[in-house]
Amino acid sequence: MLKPVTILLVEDNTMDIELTLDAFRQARLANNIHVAHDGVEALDYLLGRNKFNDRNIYPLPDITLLDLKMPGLNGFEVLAEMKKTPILKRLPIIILTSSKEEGDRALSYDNGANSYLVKPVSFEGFLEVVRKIDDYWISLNVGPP
Amino acid sequence: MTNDKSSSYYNVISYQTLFESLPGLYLVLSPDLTIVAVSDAYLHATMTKRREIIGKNLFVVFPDNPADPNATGTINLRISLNRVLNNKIADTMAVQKYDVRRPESEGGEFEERYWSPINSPILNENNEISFIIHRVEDVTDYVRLKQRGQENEVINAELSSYKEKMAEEIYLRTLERKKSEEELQNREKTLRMTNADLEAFSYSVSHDLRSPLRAINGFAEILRKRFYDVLTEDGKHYLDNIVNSSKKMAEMLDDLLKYARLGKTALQLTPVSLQEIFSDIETNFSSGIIDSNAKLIIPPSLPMVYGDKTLILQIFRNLIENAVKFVKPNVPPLVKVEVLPKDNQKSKFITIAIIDNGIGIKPEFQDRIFSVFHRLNTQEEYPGTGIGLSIVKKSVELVGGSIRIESEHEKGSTFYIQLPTEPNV
Repeated sequence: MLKPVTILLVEDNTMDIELTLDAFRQARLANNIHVAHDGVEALDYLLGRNKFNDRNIYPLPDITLLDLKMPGLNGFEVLAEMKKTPILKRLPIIILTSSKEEGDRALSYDNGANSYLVKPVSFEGFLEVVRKIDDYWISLNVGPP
Repeated sequence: MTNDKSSSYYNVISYQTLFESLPGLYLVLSPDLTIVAVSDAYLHATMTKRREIIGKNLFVVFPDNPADPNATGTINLRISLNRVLNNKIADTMAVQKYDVRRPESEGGEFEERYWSPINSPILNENNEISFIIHRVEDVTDYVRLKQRGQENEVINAELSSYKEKMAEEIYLRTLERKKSEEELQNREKTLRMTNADLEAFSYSVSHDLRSPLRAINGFAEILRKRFYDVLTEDGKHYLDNIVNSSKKMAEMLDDLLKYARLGKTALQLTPVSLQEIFSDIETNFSSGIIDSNAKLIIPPSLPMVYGDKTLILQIFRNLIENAVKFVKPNVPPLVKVEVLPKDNQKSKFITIAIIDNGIGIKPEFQDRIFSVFHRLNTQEEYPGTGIGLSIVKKSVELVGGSIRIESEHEKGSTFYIQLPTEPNV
């Protein structure tokens, strides 16, 4: 990789954050993961607001892993806001959720999600998902200019 | 009597004959109440004969009806006559029930009669009573009519009160019915809400429980990966238990979610070829996905049914997987698919039988096997979540079919799946 990949993980559940970070570490992808703990914080990061105002420390992510069910602004709202914002609208967004519900899937794609991944319950399964994110979204996929 | 004509009449007329022929009912009594004269009409009305009653005491001739304990005829008459004797004026009596006796030749029984009597004194020049004229009218018919009228009135009153009661009852019943209909509607509404609630509940349960479960499983896995070596044998065993249980629970949640999601997804109802469905399943067999020892016998031709292809595939795949799974150890599973002949040519359904050589189900458990999470065997014997047949049943019902089981314990089971062959009109 020519430059380190920046990943933004938007997730409110601390256990899930810890497990995700662990999985990314195991997949040796932990180099540049930032965590936003809810929708508001996610937009703050993405727009470089408040404590995220230094783009050197908090660069725009190459991929955003977005949970759907969060307090305050939920995933759909974050998604919609990103698509409305010129500097954010092309950023690849991967929904990472427990929900397989049709409505959630439909609304995610309607709002411009690039991928929809369901978190498996087992850690082994989750590791596999993370590895595949690496394989495809980080290694294979060519991002926006 | 001042002229000849009248005097001649006077000579001809017998006053006794005149009296006796009067149309009214008259009886002439002496002050000691002996009958001294009687009109023919009176005799006729009382069914008596003149020679039998003249000279006899009134009450000897006309006693009370011994069969009527309430008879007041004689006493009332006696009082009235006494009043006449004492007051020397006419006394009108109220209508009396005073039964008369038929002649001996006619059986001598009493006949019910009602009378309206007037007793009038005949006074001599000394103002003493020489006779009493007892004049009566037979009002039996009138009384009877009146009685009947009263009866009718009673009946009418009863009828109208009955009518009112009926009307009231009908009103009440209508109210009750309306109430029970409302209750039914409410209950239905509640039930519908409950069903929706239940689905929403099981859905959110299966969703929201996944998150903590993922944490349990995740951290247990991390422990096992990185800290297994530092654990004692017991510690390792316990940790394995946690990992295995969390995996089991994950499977159950997945199945519960699958079950809850059934019916939430719009059905794609189209003609479905069972031939295709079963060749799909057969492919799984031959590729060893299901069980390399298992044998599946499918008839050369299978009919078309009408339903959702995904659901129908799921129904038969689940059933056949079950059939293969629930066999005694070391028994090669044998599953036979049969198409039952239609009951009649017009039937819009076809029945498919899935016959296995498995462990079978005891009769007392056969109705339970379609319930969610109802397992008949231990996890160690036959792993599974206990929701597969619930999913099958719900799927069959969603496409408008039905399912039943015939089973003999330790001999095998047959599932009969009835599916529609055309759209439901």
